[in-house]
Amino acid sequence: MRSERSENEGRQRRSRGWRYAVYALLRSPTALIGATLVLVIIVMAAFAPLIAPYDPNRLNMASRLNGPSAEHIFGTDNVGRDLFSRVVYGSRTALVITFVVVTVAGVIGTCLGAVAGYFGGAPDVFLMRLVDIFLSVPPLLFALVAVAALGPSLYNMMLGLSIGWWTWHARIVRGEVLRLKETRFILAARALGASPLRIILRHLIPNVAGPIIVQTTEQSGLVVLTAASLSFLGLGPRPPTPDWGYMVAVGRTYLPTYWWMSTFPGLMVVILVLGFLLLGDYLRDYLAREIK
Amino acid sequence: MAERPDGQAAVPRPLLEVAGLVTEFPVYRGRVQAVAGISFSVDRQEVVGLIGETGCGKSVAALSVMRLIRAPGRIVAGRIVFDEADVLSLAEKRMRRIRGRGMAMIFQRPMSSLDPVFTLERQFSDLVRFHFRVPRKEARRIAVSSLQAVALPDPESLLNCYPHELSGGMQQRTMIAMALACDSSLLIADEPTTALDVSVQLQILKLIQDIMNGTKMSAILISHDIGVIGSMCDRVYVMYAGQMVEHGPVREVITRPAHPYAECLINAIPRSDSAKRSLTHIRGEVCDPLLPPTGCRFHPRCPLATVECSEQAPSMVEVGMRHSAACLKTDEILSGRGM
Repeated sequence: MRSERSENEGRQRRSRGWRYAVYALLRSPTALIGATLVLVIIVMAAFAPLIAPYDPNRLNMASRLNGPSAEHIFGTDNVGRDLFSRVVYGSRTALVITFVVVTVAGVIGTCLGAVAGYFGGAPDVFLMRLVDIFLSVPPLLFALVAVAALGPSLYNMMLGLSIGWWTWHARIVRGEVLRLKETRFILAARALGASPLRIILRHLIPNVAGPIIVQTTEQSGLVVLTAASLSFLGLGPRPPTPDWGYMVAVGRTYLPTYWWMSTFPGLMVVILVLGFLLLGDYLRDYLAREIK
Repeated sequence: MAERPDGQAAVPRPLLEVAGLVTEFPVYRGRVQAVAGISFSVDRQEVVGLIGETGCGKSVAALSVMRLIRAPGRIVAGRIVFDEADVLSLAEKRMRRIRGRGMAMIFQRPMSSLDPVFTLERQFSDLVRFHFRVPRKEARRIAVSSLQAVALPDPESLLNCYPHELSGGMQQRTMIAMALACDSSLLIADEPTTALDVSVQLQILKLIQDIMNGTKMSAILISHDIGVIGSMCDRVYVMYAGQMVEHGPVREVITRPAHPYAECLINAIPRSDSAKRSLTHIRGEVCDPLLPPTGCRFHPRCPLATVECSEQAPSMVEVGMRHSAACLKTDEILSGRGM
């Protein structure tokens, strides 16, 4: 039947899966743009000290509000800090917030969604009504309330965002679990003695990985945007931490004469959000094709 | 199937004993009794067949035995004793130990019975390590030897494959190998060969037969193919609309069916030597499970039915050695055949 197949071939086929993913990525222009944008920001964050020409927090009153020049390519801000360096370091703040929020929200949402979908009945009704309630409040408002109550700081903002963000994951995972739990391999797993916890962790969640990845990527873009909005309102990390949203807010008072102060950090938000959304869009298509 | 030494007298209790099992599902218009009071037993090292049309409760009966009926369906009455354990009163945790290790179940359409996102090795080692608490290496050894036992070539490299890389027959063999790996004492095969092509069907049946002969496993074989049952089983139970209508040694039931439903099933087997050009079928459809007919549930479709049949529900009557049927007309059928 298959005696000709060696172990090596099996391994090769799987690595071809990765190669195919890269190939598909290269063939889709939007996906390529999305991936590049996200990658640029990640590289920026990772190598910030190497890329930034100045210390992002060093004040230099002598060169306040200088426009873009060879010395300061994005110009300087109202207290003479190099805007480019601050934008570069700001990518770290943005990515940390995004990563923490989607991870926390993803884990909470996935677990609750899986429990609701698998057990059904009362836990399902309770959790899904809870989701409905959470969804009726915009996540920005949630984070706002949380930060207002706990005091503005990076951690409180991430906490506030996570609380408002788990619902999407919960919904999607629940839906997928509802579909999967009636499939035969779950019945077969139960017939061979697997416990509910084991089925959820070992069979259901791995099978929902595709939608979770898509969801996480797309939500990352929205988290970036919402986090920037919060810091714009002064509810984010405390200054002098470089943060795009806050930089836009400070620069706003200097518009339109000193336009660069708001424009460059704002542009970075656009780039990162766009990157995540385009990448998410591609993943949705790619993973859906994989399933078929 | 080769005749097994008839040692029932020596075996004190059957491996599995089901009595008066009733499984219900609430639906919009009321409650459906998918299984309405059936009793059956499986001896050690015996292969028992369960036959009946689609929708007569065969699969629900099997799932009930393993206590795999999902809410809102539930078992409302009956007693199930498996290997001296009262299945219906066991804690769920102990029941999980029995599933797989005590009794394992394989399903039709094997392609959907394996988790698509993991390699076979991962699925095997999960299973074996859960039941036997052995190190990964030992689990792999068990997996290889059980894959060998189901005659799959090159088990070592097969373990690195994902389910979709296997053919239907190989997938079903893998499922059987999983049951073997757990060293189950009872294999419940729910139409194991439906959805496989004919030559593969034969191979799988042959494999199950070989395993039955080579190990101490018992089996319940569920099928709507009386030919399969006839060649594989020691005894057969015939189900209709959630009830047992006849049971007995396979040869007995096939050559001398005592219930008209069993007789109709047998007559419906296409024969190449028949002069008739059209196929025989059983008229009508399986009854509405919400409103089963009064009296004998088969009477609206029965060629022998009389008024009496619609009024009085027949009970199981012994008609031969370990051979019983639930029909008011049994005598008529048997004597009509000149017995």
